[in-house]
Amino acid sequence: MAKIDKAALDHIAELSKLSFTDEETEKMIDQMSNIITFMDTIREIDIQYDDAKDNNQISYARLREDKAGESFPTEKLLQNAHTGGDGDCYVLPKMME
Amino acid sequence: MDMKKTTLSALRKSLDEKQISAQELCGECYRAIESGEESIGAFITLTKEEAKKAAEKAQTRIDSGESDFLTGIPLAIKDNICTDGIKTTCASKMLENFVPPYDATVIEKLKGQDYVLIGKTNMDEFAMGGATQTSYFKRSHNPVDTSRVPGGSSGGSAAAVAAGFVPASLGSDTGGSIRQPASFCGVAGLKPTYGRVSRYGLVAFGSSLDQIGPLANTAADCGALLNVIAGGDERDATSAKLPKEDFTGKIGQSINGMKIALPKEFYGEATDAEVKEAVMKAAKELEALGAVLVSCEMPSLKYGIPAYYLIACAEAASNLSRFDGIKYGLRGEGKSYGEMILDSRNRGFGEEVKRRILLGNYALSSGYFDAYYRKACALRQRIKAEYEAIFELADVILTPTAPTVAFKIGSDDNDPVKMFTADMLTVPVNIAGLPAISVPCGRNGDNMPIGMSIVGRRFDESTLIQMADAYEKEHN
Repeated sequence: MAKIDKAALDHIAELSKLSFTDEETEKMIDQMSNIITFMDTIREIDIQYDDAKDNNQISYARLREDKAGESFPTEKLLQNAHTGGDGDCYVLPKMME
Repeated sequence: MDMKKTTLSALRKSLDEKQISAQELCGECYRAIESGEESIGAFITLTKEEAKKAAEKAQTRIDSGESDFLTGIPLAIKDNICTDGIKTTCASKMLENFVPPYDATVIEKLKGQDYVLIGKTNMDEFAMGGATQTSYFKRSHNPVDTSRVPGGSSGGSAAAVAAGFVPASLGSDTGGSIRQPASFCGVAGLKPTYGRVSRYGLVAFGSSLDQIGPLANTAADCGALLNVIAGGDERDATSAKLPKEDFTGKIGQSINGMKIALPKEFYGEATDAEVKEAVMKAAKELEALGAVLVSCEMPSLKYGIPAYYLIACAEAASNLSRFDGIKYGLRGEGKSYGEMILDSRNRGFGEEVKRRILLGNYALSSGYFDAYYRKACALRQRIKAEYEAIFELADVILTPTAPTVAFKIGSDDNDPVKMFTADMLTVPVNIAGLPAISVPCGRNGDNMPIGMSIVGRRFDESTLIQMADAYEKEHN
């Protein structure tokens, strides 16, 4: 029995910023259904997560001092970027009109 | 020179006694690569020019009598570890031309000793896989039988050592990606305790699971490499700040009286009979050296795979969201910002990576978070507790590293779930953050290597290396 349908795949694809052709969608629904069926093994066991056990508090004693240091050289940080010739900016399509 | 038959200590001695120069040693590596790499495909990038310069610099240091352990030693590095000025691709089209602007902390430490980088090794894309078959660039082959996989995702690193291209390499292990390829290729591979080695500069897959570790011909060499790369790091808040330690310090000490647990679930039906037989034979050999074998159980092992994949993929979905074509990486086409990001990711990622991102976001999404991700975290706590209970009875745990030997290339290409289940014996160690070393313990009827894993308490790598070394010396 398929665990996910096209609507579910479209939803998680949107969350993942991925998209699929019709052919890929069919294949992915099949594969993801098998994977999720396998993941459902964990439903057999009745246990609860214990937040306190994982010691989720930040140890402030271990934080480093808030001291300013040298920055990375801008040209190094941009060496893999699409700057469009403008040396100190990332250039990209408009986010909104 | 046969790099497969030497050790890092032997090379150190040869270099310091001027029996061989750093340049000659570097040359030996490239000669071996020239003759064997075409059939193995261990490397994505070879760094011949940089290696020559590094070897010259190392030799100057050796000549002045100021060498460190790794001065002039040639190593291969998995291609998800950032190397300043040298392409780091994670075996993905997304990062095909990515040149990091900085070195990973482990690379800084190796450079501090003037090691020689021979090349960046092939891997499964973004470390997602168990066979080094999902790389965008090439499939890697097992040097023992080139029709079979070398394992993964550090398959290139394991193959490079097994083929005699380099005496040691670095890999990364999130769910078995050092230990399993070590087992498949017949070399030693160590996953340190989570937090032992800085992850700064390791391209993140599962941030609560990833660790960088060594692959080499012997357990002692793994320990020697760990000595260099281990240590707390201000730039990695998950790294442990502990006193410096010599992980080879217990080598040679007797294992008499040490207790070795054998959890029965690791020796079940899913593990090949020949694999079980070889590991049990090794257990008996350790018993003959004075160790005590202890039976025990780990009933939650069967939930290890789903728990691991839900946690790892959830973290991966978050970590890989940075790949949008904006600041680095492949940039797709699109009239709008949204279209460009979609196209970048559609074109940049392979199928396995996409599947894992989808699974991760499914597990984290509204309506499913408690049933999947939170439940997986609860299972993680249970598995950790079961390990703690076992360590009340024993000093180490001995298991097969993988349920099978290296399989034929192409045999699991179309079955994602089958690929997942192949990790069943390695992932619990990552879930619990424990150290584990895989060493060869025999061959099957097809002459393929079988590996056994020795798992220890957190930060007890020295004991693992002590025991693995005792076995190696007795067995050889």
